[in-house]
Order: sequence, then C-alpha cells, then structure tokens
Amino acid sequence: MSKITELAVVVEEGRIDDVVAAVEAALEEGNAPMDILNAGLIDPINVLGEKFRLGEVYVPELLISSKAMKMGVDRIKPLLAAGDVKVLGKAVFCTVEGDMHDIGKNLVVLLLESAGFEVIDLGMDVEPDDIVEAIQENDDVQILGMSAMLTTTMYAMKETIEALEEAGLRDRVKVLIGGAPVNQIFADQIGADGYTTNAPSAVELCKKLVVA
Amino acid sequence: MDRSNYNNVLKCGSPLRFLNEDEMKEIHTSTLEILQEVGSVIQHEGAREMLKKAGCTVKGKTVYFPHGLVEWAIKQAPSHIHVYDRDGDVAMDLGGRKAYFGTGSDCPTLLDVYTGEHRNFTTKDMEDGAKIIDALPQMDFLMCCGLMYDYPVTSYEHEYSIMVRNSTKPQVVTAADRESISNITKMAVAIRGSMEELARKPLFLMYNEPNSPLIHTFEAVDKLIYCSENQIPTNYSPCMMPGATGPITNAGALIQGNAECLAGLVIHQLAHPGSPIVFGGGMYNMDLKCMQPTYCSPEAIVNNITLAQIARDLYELPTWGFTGCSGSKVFDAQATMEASEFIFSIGYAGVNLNHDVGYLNYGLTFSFELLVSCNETISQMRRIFDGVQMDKDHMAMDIIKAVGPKGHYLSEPHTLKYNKEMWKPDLTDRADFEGWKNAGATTYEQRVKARTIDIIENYVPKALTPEQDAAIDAILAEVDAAAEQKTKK
Ligand code: B12
Repeated sequence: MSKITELAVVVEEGRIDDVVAAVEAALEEGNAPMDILNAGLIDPINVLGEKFRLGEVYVPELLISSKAMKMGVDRIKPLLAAGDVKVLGKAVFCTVEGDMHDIGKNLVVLLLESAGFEVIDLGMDVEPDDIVEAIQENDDVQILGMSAMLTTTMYAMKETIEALEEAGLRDRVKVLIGGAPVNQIFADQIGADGYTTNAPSAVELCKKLVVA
Repeated sequence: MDRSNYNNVLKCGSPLRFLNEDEMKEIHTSTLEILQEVGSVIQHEGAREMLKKAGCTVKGKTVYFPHGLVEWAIKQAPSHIHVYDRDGDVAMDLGGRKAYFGTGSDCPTLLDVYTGEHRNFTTKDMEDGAKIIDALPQMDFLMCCGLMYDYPVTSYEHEYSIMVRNSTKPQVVTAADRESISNITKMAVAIRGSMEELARKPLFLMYNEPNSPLIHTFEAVDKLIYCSENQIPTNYSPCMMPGATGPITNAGALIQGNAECLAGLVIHQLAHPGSPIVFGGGMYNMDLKCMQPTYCSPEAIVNNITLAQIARDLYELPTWGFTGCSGSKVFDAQATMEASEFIFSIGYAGVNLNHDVGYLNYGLTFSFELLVSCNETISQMRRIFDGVQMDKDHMAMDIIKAVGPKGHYLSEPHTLKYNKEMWKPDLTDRADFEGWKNAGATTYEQRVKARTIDIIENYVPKALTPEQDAAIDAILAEVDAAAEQKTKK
C-alpha cells in the first residue's frame, strides 16, 4: 500500500492520533503535497460524506474523520502554495433572533466545513442587523444560512431578508433557510432561495447554489 | 372505564428501579463533583449575584457550586405539591409514587384526523385538543399540544386562554419569558380571584428547561425566579440529546442531567426557599444517523425513570416524566407500541407528572388519535398496577367453599358484585368473531379515529362564568396590544 493510501485509511478510520505521522510518512515517500492533500486527506472525507448521506455511517464517524483531515491539512499547509487549498464556497450561518436552538445549525455547519466550505458561524439568537453587518464585512460570502426551530422566531427570517434588501445586499447572497417549523411554502413566501430538511441535503443545495 | 375504580398509587411489591441505593449516591456525588469543579454557565446577572452571595465562586458567567449549598437546596424544596382543578378541587398530589398523565406541548404540526395530512397547528386545533383532554378520563392535566401559527408573538397566552376555557383540568404551561408567564398568571388569577388563592390552590405548573450541556439561559433562569417568588410550581427539565448535547451512556447522561436540574434547583430555592418544584428530565439520545432526538428510545426511558427515582428516593422531591410518545410519523402500530411501552414503564416506576402523551415525530407532530389511544393504555396500566386486593371478601374463601369442585361462578352475586371492579374495554375489541364482523369489522385504528371525531364534534366542556370569560378577554386584548406596540417599534 502506498503511503497516501495508508493516510486515506487513517483519515477514513478517524485515527486522529496517527494522522500527522501518516502525512509525514507520505511526504518522506516523496509524494507531492498536492497529491497528499487530494488523495490522502480530501478524498476519504468525500467518500465518508457520501456514505453518511446514504445512512451507512454515523455522524460522529464523519466528524471525527473531518477532524483528522483538518489536522493533516494543517501539517502540509506550509508546503503548499497560497490558493492550493481550495474552498468550495463561503457562507454565513446563524440561528435567528430569539431562538436558542443551535444543534441543527451546528450540524449543517460541520458538514459544510467537512465538504470544503468556509463558514462564518454567527451563533444563535442573532439579530437581523448583525447578520447584515456580517455580510457587508465579508464581500466574498455567497450563501446566508438561517435556522429557526420556533413558530415564534421564524418570522425573523423574513425581517432579515427585508433588512438585506434595504441594505442593497439581497442580490449578493443566496438565502437558505431551515429548521422544523419552516417549509418550502414559507421559504417561497419570504423570498428565500432555498430550503431543505436536513444537513446532508443542505450541503448538496449549497454546492448547487455556488455553481449556479 | 370508570377511573375512580383504580388507585393511581402504585402498589407493586418491588418498584421498577435500575440503581440500588449506593449507585444512586454515586450519581449524586459525581454530580456534586461536576457542579463544584466544572460549574455551569448562568446567563442571568441577578442570579449570579444571588449565587455568589450564597457562597458560589463566580468567574465571568460560570458559577461553581459548593456541595453544601446544593444539599441545602435539596432539603428546602417540598416533597409534595397539590395541584387543583378549575373548580378548586384537588386534582393531583405530586410526590411519592403517584402517576399522573398529560399531553405534550408546542408541536409545529398536527396529524389531521380527518385528512391524515401533516399540517400547521392552528387555534381551532388547540380548542379540539383541550376538549379531547377534558373528555378523556385518564388525562389528568393539559399541555398545549401545538404552538399556534395564527399568533406568532402571543401564542403562549392564547393557548392558555383556550386550555382554561375548554377544560376544568389543571395545566402545565410553556412560556417565552417572564412577561409571557406573568400574562398567563394573570389569567389564572382571574379564575382563582387573587394571587394568594392561586398560591394556595395552584391551577397550573410552568414548564422550564436548561440548555444542555450545563447552560442556563437568561429566559429560563428569569422564569424560574419568577415562579419561585410567586409560589407557582414549576419543573426544570433538561432536553438533553445524549450523543450530541450530553454523554451517550446512561450513567453519564444521568450525571450531567442531574447537574443541570440541581443548578436550577439551587437558583429556585435561593429565590424563595420552600417554593414548589418538580424534579427530573429528558435525556433522549440523538439518533446518530438521522440526527433527530429519540424521545422514546429504550435508553431514554431508562434515563427518565432513573433520574426520577433519584429525585424521589434520595432527594424526596416530586418527579417529572415523559410518556405516551413516538418517533413514528403516523398513528400506526409503531406509535401505539412505543407509546404503550413508555406508559407501562413510567407507571411501573411511579413517576409523578408525566407529559408528552400524543407526540409523534419526536415532538414535531401532535396526534389526537394517539392521545385517545393512550387513554385506553393508561387505564389498563392503572388497573394492572392496582394489583391484588387482600381483604376477606376479595380472597373469596366462602365462595370457593360454597361452589366447590363441580360448580361455576357465573350466577354468584360475588361475581356480579366484583365485576364492577374489573377493567372494562372501551376501544379494545373483545367481541367474538361474528360479533366483530356484524359490528362493522373495524380495526382499532378505525375505532380510535371515530372516537376522536366524536369528541371533537360533540363534546361540550363546562364553560367559564361570564365574568371569568370577560376577564380573560380583557387580558388577551392587553397582551395583543402590547405585542403590536413592540413589533411596531
Ligand atoms: C433540543 C431542544 C431544545 C434545546 C435546544 C438546545 C440547543 N442548543 O439547540 C432547549 C432545551 C434549549 C430548547 C428550548 C426551547 N424549546 Co426546544 N426543542 C429541542 C428539540 C427536542 C430538538 C431540537 C434539535 O436540536 N433537533 C436535532 C437537530 C439536528 O435537528 P434540527 O434542529 O431540526 O436541524 C436539522 C434540520 O432542521 C436542518 N436545518 C436546521 N437548521 C437549518 C438551516 C438551514 C439553512 C438548512 C438548509 C437546514 C437546517 O438540518 C438539521 C440537521 O439535519 C425539539 C424537538 C424536535 N424534535 O425537534 C424541541 C422544540 C424545537 N422546542 C420547542 C420549544 C417550544 C422550546 C421552548 C420555547 C420551550 C420553553 N418554553 O422553554 C424553548 C425555547 C428557547 C428559545 N428561545 O429558543 C418546540 C418548538 C415549538 C414550535 N412550534 O415552535 C419543539 C418542536 C418541541 C416541542 N414540541 O415542544 N429546546
């Protein structure tokens, strides 16, 4: 087995204690850092992500392997040229004002990150103005993801979209919403660009939106 | 199906318990270790100050609880809470091993009994729900079933008005914050006449929860203090999802859950020592494939019962339970299986205040059919745990001797007399095959559905007096006006 294949196995099995040594072994073998990055670190996560989507592995397996991948990436980053580590896209995520439910949002963020997105996580109970400010400050953001779990807080999504319009920023980002009380009808009503019911499908949707 | 036949004080010789006394104490001391060493985040400045004065170490928002203070608080809280119905009669004596049952709250959607659709929960649904709970003899209290989409800001207040108008049974209420719980209190005061009367004869309990792991939000703490100061009984139940927001193992989840409950108890008892509180919580693991909470997994049942056991046997406090709920999306065999398993376990364990009857889809969809079905299960469960009566007449020695080896019991007055005590099927079918066929060859699901519709269309609950009704209307008008002012700003 080549050292890159061995590394991919280490990542897939989530062996965080072994990953740095495995990256170093692959370097010693003479592999190019770019090949180690793609075949040894990113590929196994894509495989696991797909398995998770199909219900073949549990979420901690994916998240622990993602942790291993990140440790590996940190180790070879100094050896790569700027821009070699590509991000798929950049997003801002939050749970809306008045809402303390952040587990679902966190899961979407974790899966997006493991799929190669960069995510600015504003946390929970975030006011529309603060969301607008975050988008203003980061002009490379393509996606805004908002989560709400309460019938009483979902209307904050509408307010946020209105605030974005007022600030002249609505066309700069695709707005994605999610959480138990919202649905496609509500998404259409408030003029959101997308809605999904779970984290794996949120990742799929984000991938589509950044290509479009 | 006469409920008064059965005693809800469980009489089993060996109550269901998973831990012996030493093991319960081990959970307790481990909890103390967590509270003193790791502490808890308390997002309420007033509470932090109060805790500091009481001897806690406070660093930023994290509060570290000394063992002695926690054990002091456990001793302050009362071991029983009496809750009264709208007419002022005792409805529940929470404490010991008495088991009471009520619905769950706040589902976003309803499984429509007429169309079988999942759709948004509305005001009319809340009215139907309250009527059904009022009509079902095994239901002891109401929670609001769903959160009404029609009132995005003041839904908690409107739900309360509907519950109190359509049922005489006591309620367990949810509320957004101090303002909404004080609005609800105003309505209950309108029923009782004064704040003192409400404290003397509580009509409702408040539902409240920490934010696992080990966080106590401003709103939760503020509501806890409000209830304590006003002698309004409350619970403080973690909504932990072991594997995501708590350790996945039973013992680990119990230690963290107990720490969350105890931190709340200390705040509650410091605000007003001796105020009534119900102890216990939900620790239902997240399914790590679908990432949803499993309200009724075997592990969740073990966790719920065991924390209640610690509360009752070690702390001598009234206990909080989950029951009658399912992860199924429709009212089907899975729903009745899961709900029934939970009802029997909770009844066996003798947990006091058990909510969530009627939950499908792990708390996202309410089902009136599941609720009506659970009424039948609870009545069976209550009969089973009523056990064996051991007086002379029940032992029937005279009759056994009189009838002798070759006789029969069908024409004995003793049989007729005690047939009154036997559990009677209501929706359960016991007919012979022909009889069942002639009566329409219905399934249990069909009979449940017909009963549910019958109650919705024909049941008339006892009305409030016109004065009470007007007082509630006035409070609602005020609440809605205030909310409108706020949204304009
Ligand atoms: C855990 C929980 C809590 C915890 C939250 C802890 C935390 N840090 O998040 C605590 C205890 C704090 C809590 C508090 C309350 N809760 Co709560 N809670 C839940 C519970 C049990 C699970 C939620 C959860 O985390 N699910 C697991 C995650 C993974 O799923 P998810 O959030 O749905 O996310 C998935 C998808 O929706 C989607 N998704 C989510 N966000 C986004 C965003 C985008 C952009 C996309 C594309 C997709 C997406 O992907 C996610 C992953 O697959 C639900 C019941 C339930 N079954 O959902 C009630 C529930 C949401 N809570 C409810 C209520 C009423 C409350 C309280 C008001 C209770 C009270 N009176 O105190 C408070 C409100 C506090 C506040 N201001 O927010 C109600 C909501 C009712 C309604 N109709 O609005 C529910 C439905 C339970 C019920 N029936 O009563 N709660």
